[in-house]
Amino acid sequence: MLSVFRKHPAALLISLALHALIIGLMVVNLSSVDKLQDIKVGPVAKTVQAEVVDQQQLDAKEKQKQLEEKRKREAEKKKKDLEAKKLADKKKKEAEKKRKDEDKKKAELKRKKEAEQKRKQEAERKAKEKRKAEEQRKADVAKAAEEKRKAEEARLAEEKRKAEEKRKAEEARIAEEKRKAEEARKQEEERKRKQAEERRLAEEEQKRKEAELKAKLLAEENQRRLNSLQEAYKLAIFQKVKRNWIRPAGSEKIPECWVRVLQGPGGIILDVTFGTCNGSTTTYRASIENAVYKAEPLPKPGDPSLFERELNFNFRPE
Amino acid sequence: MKQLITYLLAGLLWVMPVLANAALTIEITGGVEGALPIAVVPFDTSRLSSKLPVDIAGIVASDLNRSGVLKSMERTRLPANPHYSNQVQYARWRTAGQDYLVVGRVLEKSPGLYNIEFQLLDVLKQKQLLGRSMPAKKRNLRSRAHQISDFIYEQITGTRGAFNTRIAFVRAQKDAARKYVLQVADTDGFNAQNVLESDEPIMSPSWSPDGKSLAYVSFENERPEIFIQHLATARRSKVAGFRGLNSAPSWSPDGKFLALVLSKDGSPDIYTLNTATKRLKRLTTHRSIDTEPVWASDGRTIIFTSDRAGSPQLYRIDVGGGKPKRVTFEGRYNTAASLSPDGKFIAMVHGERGQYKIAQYERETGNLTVLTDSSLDESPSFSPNGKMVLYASTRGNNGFLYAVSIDGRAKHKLSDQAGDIREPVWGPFESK
Repeated sequence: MLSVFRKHPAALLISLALHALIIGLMVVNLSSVDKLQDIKVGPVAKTVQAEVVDQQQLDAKEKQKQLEEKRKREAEKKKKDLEAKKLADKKKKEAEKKRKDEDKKKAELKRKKEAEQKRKQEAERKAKEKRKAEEQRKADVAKAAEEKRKAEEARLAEEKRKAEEKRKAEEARIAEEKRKAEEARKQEEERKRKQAEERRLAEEEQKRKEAELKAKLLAEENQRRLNSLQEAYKLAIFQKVKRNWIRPAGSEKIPECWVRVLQGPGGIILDVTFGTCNGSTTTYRASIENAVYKAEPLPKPGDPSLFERELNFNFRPE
Repeated sequence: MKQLITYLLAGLLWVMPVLANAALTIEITGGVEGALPIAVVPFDTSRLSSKLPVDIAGIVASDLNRSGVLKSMERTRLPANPHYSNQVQYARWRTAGQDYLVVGRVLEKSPGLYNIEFQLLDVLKQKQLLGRSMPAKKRNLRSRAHQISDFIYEQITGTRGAFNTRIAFVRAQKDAARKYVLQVADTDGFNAQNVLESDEPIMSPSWSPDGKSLAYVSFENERPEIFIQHLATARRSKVAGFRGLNSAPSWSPDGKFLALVLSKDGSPDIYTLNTATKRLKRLTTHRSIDTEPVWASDGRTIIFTSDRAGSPQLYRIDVGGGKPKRVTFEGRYNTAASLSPDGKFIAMVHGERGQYKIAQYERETGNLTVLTDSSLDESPSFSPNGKMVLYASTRGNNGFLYAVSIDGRAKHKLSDQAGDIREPVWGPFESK
């Protein structure tokens, strides 16, 4: 019960007020009865004094009248009370309704107010949050900027350090290279010196050999010249005959074919005679003979003394 | 005098290897492999009453080219046009790179009766090697031209020429009146003449050794039977019409027997038939397929194809009988043997990886040489001089005649080819 009141203090107040009113009204009614009785007392006293003769009659009549009146009054009063009560009830109901409406309104108002308050609180909260977030963001940005700045500083410092290192390394490398180059130069000088020495020795050796060879060549000059001329002669004949040799297909298995060629002055072919020519065919021999004849005139030797009337050829396909 | 020198030199030759170091000795190694160059000048026909229907020099040049031994100069490149040896300026031909020169002319004795004269000249020695005069009629002008080729070939190579021989083959023509024709033609494929026309297949022609008859398989009775036909008279007789298969006739070198394949006793086996007495002799009894018998030139052995070892290979068997001996071992497919006249070589179809080429098998060494580079070659047949192999090569849907030199270097498609040509077989030399 108390908790109800505590929850709805307004309702309690209203209830208390209504009770007080009702009680008040009842007291008024009671007091008005007393008054009436008071009033009656006065005139009675007066009347007694003035109209004593008929007092008895009068009294009865009066008394009757009074009773009637009293009854009338009471009925009236009762009626009035009833009406009053009705009215009061009505009023009470209206009041109740009004109160309820009021309550409702109040509740509505209260709800609205609360909602409003809540909304405000929410808005406030959000604003706060937003503010906070903003602050946070600003703080973050500031922090990031700070970090970046620090990183940049660090990077610059690192770069500087590295550049320094590089510079130092480069200096070291250059120094090393210089050192090496110097070393290489020295080695190269040494090598060249040695090489020159070797060359000089080799040249001396070569000169010695050449001198020897020259002496030898001089000693053998004539023979050598003739030999080389004969080689050249043979080579020239070989080349000319070979160039003109078209041999038949399938002849590669024929091992060798000796041919004696008789030539006259100026390399004219006088005769071609076949010697050992195992496994040969007529076509193969014809190809050889044709090669010799196509080589006519046979080349001349470089020295007339080298001319040979008789030439021996050995034809081999491979 | 010259003879004396020759004799002297001949005597010296015995000691030449010893003298070789003393005298000037020159080693010639290598050389270019090739054919000997020869120029065949068109024969003079200006004095004839009518134009000659045959280009004799053209036939000769083409024949010599086909041999692979000689290479005839292109007609447009000839430096001169002599017809007699005394018109020849040898230096010009020498400069033109020719070793040999052929000149000739055709004279008319009476209308349609000619005399062909020609000379084979050695350009390098500036002398005549050969000179002939031969009578000719209009109908044998081609034959005379091939004869000239033979003379030239033999003069230069020392080997008898086989240009003036005949070849036989079966020609199938879808739209012809008779679908199958057995024909005989010149070795260049020209001058084809019908021997037999049929609506049913004709197969396996075989020349009699005298070149006067052909044995063949004909399906004219709707089954394979063997006939012999005399070419000049067209007289023919059935020699084998047994139950089952009668196929692959092959004449013995003496002309008295036919080797043939009969299946009357079960699987196809090799038999010999005495054509006079009709006596049959069975040579093989294996339950595998034995076929394509050919006689060795000594007439004592027969080479045939058998799949008795799984894949088809060549075997030989004594005509007296006995156990067949396997001849080929290289590869999984060796069939359709043709023996060289000296019996040293066997031409055959050699199959490898689905390609069927003509190969030459040297019996003494066992060396196998593939001669062709096409993929569907069949029926190789040696020329009677053993220097060339005739065969059919399928290109597209049809078979064509080809001739290849035995070294495989010269390969020529023969001319005048219509329809689908199968089973060519080279005839023998005409008796001289």
